[in-house]
Amino acid sequence: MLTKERFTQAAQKYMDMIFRVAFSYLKSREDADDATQNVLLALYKTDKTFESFEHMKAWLIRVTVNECKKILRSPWRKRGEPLEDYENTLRFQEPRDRELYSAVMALDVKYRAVIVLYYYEGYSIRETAGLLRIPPATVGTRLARAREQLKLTLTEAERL
Amino acid sequence: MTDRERIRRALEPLHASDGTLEEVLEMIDREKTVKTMKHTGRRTVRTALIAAALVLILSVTAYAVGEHTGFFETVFGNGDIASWDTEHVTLTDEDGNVWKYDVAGQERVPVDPEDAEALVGDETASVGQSVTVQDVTFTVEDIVMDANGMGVLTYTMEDPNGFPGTEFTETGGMLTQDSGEVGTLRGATLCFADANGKEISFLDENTIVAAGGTDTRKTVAMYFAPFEGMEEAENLKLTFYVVKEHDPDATLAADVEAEGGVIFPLSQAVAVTPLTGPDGWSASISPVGLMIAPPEGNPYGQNYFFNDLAIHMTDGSEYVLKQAEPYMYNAMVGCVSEGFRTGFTFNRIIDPAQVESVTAVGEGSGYEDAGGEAVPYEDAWIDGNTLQEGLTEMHDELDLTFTK
Repeated sequence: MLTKERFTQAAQKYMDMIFRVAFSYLKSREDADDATQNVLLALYKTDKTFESFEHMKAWLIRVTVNECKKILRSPWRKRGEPLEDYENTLRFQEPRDRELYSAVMALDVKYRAVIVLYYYEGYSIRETAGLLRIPPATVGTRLARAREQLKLTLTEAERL
Repeated sequence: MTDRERIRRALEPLHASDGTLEEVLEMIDREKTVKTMKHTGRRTVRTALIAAALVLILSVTAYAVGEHTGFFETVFGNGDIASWDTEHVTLTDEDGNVWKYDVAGQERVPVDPEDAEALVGDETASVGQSVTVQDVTFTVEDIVMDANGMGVLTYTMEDPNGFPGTEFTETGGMLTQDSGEVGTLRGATLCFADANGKEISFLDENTIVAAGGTDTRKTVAMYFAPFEGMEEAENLKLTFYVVKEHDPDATLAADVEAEGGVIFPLSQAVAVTPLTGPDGWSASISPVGLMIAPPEGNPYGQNYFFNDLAIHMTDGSEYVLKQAEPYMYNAMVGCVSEGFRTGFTFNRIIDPAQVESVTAVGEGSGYEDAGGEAVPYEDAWIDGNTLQEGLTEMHDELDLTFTK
């Protein structure tokens, strides 16, 4: 089990990543916060020893994905603030960043998850496939379809 | 600007809400378990409704007992599971912080299948429950569990296509998936629930067993320890949940496919032998696990741990479960359970009749009043949120010996 100090360090390092992955699945700030808390508690409780930061990060992503699936399969997901209200609280550098954010969030969950892991977290197609337990070809297909759907937004951003 | 940079900028504003970490730390400090989280009521209702839904769609299979030589060799080894030494690791993260720590060594002791059969054969169940997801057939084969919920089961994964997209690499004599975990594959998750379908939370460690594995068939040993819901359970149901592709706005239980289920009667679980410790501490031990319980009026809550933990046998031998120097960890799973009990699932089988004592050396921290008296953890906090005035932190060295 991690010491409290080590746990706090690790939590500070990874909680935004956990939230980002969770939000990409759940599209709800409240549910993503719940998932983040549960994942951090799992980190505190585990006696697992991590061989590297990458190992810890991959483990956290796996636990987050499982936690999100657990929440998603619930018939009583939290109905909190509308997505738009939460979006209005976010501080984007440029208006086009907000547009792209909205476009990503408008994608189906299966596309959002690969977008976050591949583009934001920088995992390769193969690593993303391993984390989501789906074949690399499926990741490639989902990325291609997501890019296609985002193409208009990305192209518009290019022009600005 | 590349697509990656654009998307990073667009998602950069997403951060965990203020106070998330503080809330988790407070929960760790003050709250009993996950179930005391602020949304307890909602989760309870939600779980109950899931239970009601699942009961309608689950089929139940009987279990059988018998000879389990192969099972015992699979999960505890017959000489082919290697031990490994402590590894000193120094890591530097991207912020330049240097982290030094030890990766625990582990000593594996091959099981004698005849001894194992004599100790837990009657309580070991053959299940045979299968579910097929995207060409992969999962089958729960055997399970043994003690009355505290510590145990191990095996399941196989068969894919006639050879698991495309999944690579398994060998580490420490075992096979694990690239990311270090097996757990779920193709969206299938093996869950525990009580007999009514209410999910029970377990920590588990899944390892792919090298022996007998082929390109199209892998055997997984899943070692587990409960941390929530076990105390109220009367029976356990093992169930494969298959999470389908989701409509993100769907709110119906139809999103879940629960494939079959097998009830494991806790009356068939391996009995535990009670041990008595000093100052109200107690423990219970079985051939597959150890549970240590703090005394009533526990001043530490969850904030106690053991650096050195050993089981001493009557023949003078010992099973070192944890050791600080060099760092050894000879349990498969360990966690803090309900009632702040600490449980460990063994990486071997022992005979409780041959146990002379259990020694545990560590430390605990809590609060004491102005008179220097330790305050029970539950009483130190008002409404679970505010620390009583006049209390100061205290730290105790723990040096406990448990005997029958």
